[in-house]
Amino acid sequence: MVKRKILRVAVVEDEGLLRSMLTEIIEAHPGMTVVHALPDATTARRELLPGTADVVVMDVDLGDGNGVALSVVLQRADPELRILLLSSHNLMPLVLSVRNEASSPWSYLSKRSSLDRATLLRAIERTAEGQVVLDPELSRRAVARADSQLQALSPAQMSVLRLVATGLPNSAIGETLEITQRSVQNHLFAIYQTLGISSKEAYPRVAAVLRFMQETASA
Amino acid sequence: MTAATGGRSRRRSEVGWWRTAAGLSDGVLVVGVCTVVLSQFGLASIAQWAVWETIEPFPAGAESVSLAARFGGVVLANVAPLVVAVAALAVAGLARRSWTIRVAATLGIALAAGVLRTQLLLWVRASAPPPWAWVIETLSGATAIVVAIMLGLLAVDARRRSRVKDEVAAQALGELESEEVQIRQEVSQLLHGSVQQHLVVIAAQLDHVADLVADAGADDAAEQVRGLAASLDEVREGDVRRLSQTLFPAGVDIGLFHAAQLALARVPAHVATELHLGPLAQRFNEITRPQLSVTERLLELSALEEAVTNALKHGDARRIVVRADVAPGSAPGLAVLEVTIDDDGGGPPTGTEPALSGLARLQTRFEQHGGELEVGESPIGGFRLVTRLPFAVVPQDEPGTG
Ligand SMILES: Nc1ncnc2c1ncn2[C@@H]1O[C@H](COP(=O)(O)OP(=O)(O)OP(=O)(O)O)[C@@H](O)[C@H]1O
Ligand SMILES: [Mg+2]
Repeated sequence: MVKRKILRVAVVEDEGLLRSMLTEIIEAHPGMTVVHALPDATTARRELLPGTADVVVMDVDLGDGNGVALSVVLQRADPELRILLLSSHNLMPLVLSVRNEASSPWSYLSKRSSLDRATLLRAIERTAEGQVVLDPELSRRAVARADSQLQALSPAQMSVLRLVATGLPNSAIGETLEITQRSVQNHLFAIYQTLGISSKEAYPRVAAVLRFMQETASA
Repeated sequence: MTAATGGRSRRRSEVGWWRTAAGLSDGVLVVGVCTVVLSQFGLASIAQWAVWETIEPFPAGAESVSLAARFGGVVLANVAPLVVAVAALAVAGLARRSWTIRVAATLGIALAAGVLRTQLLLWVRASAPPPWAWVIETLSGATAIVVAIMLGLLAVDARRRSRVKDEVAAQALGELESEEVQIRQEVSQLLHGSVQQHLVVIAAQLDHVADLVADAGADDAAEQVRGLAASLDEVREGDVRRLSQTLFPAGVDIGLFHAAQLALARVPAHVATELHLGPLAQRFNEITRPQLSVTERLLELSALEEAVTNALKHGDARRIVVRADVAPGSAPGLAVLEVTIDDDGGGPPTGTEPALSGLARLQTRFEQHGGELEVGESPIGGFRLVTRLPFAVVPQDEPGTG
């Protein structure tokens, strides 16, 4: 059996209670450890040195600055670092508007709607793998925009894409939709084709999720 | 139809004139006023000499001097006092002195320059006039100089007073603005946080009560209570959240274009949206160095919001295209953000000029920030709103204040 590398997670969150809850949940996972639990941007700039963490769980509203600018700064110093944004406002489209400044696409979870243990851990895990994970509740509510290519997707394909956006692997998507993994795979290929994404791309799922974000209205 | 902002250009040119005057240094302003007054006096004096030359035969003994030389002498006699006065002003730095020193120095300068002037005029005349004529000529020259210098000094003082007033006003406005931003943020957070949370809790309790009522067998009453809980949720989602958002739009503290993208993502799905940044705007869209103050960003976002609301409300638009770019400003360190918002809706009403309401309010706010608004027809078929807003560029090496 291959021993998996332990994921090093940093938490930057200004609310003390939430910070310790996040830390506890992550520490309880056998494959993860919290290397930093930091309250603000200043401390994060000082302590979160390149190479010390794999993923940062970053609150957007920090007392002394915003977590978005901080994440860009941290990723510039350490392009391998992955970012999972947390916010109580709906700021999911930020994942799109920072993509030119970020070294790898970010994930986003809302503190309001669906921050449960399983979602958080899955988001951290998938983000560390280089996937983009969007908030499940917000993804469920997102509607394809007029004149977008998403409108060309069938309802079944759209349901698959929604679940891909929340970071579920094909097996879990199949279970949720009560279809075989094989049909999930077929739907995915059809989605890539419609959106003009080459399935040979390193992260076709990421490309599809970003298009999902770009071409939907956030309700 | 770009006439909706009528009166704008006139006001702007007045402002332009005043800026030019305000840009002069105190010394230049005094000398300028002095020169204008003394030139008038000099011209009058030369004209008088010309009249005398023609009606009065020149006194004996002056024939050796040619007419051209006599003319030159008169001109010199009237220019010399000006030069003396200006030089003395510059050396004494009168604009910076108290009024006692100003009056004493001015009298001294005026008397000296007045005597000089009379002596030069005598050289042209080449014969001694009666003493009373000497005194009157000297006094009239000196008086002109006193008047010129005093007017110059008064102009400097008047401008200083208005500058102080402007500065006090600008400072007060700045303080008010940052206070407003803070209050907006606090109220917005309160609405978004506590108020929403209270409403959520009450709605949950109502749902619980509904369950109890249903258990007791009163299904109709239970439905009613559930209905109440649902409308409470609507109020929370619709009114409270929207109010919070309007007060302090999401992402406004991160950067204007990020906030604009968030705002466009909220446009209903049946409308296609595009946001394009021009090459310079892209360079200014640096997240670690956000441009524009929060107040300026709030202003730009309210323009975007007004344009989107108008496009949906008046134009029934299906497509909204936002373009932003930055142009150099009127001075180094200044730039102008130009945002064009096009829609493909019904466009401006034909015939009558529309009565501006939201746009008029917006225009006033842009003008208060030295910017402007323009409305017209859009090349994509509907309405076009263009905003221009000057801003101080945050330089490369300084961290931004996001
Ligand atoms: N996008 C648009 N498409 C068509 N007509 C427009 C558009 N925007 C503005 N107008 C016209 O210009 C008028 C003035 O717009 P303005 O935003 O100033 O006021 P309003 O929208 O009528 O009122 P308020 O902004 O206070 O809700 C509108 O009544 C409408 O006739
Ligand atoms: Mg309006």
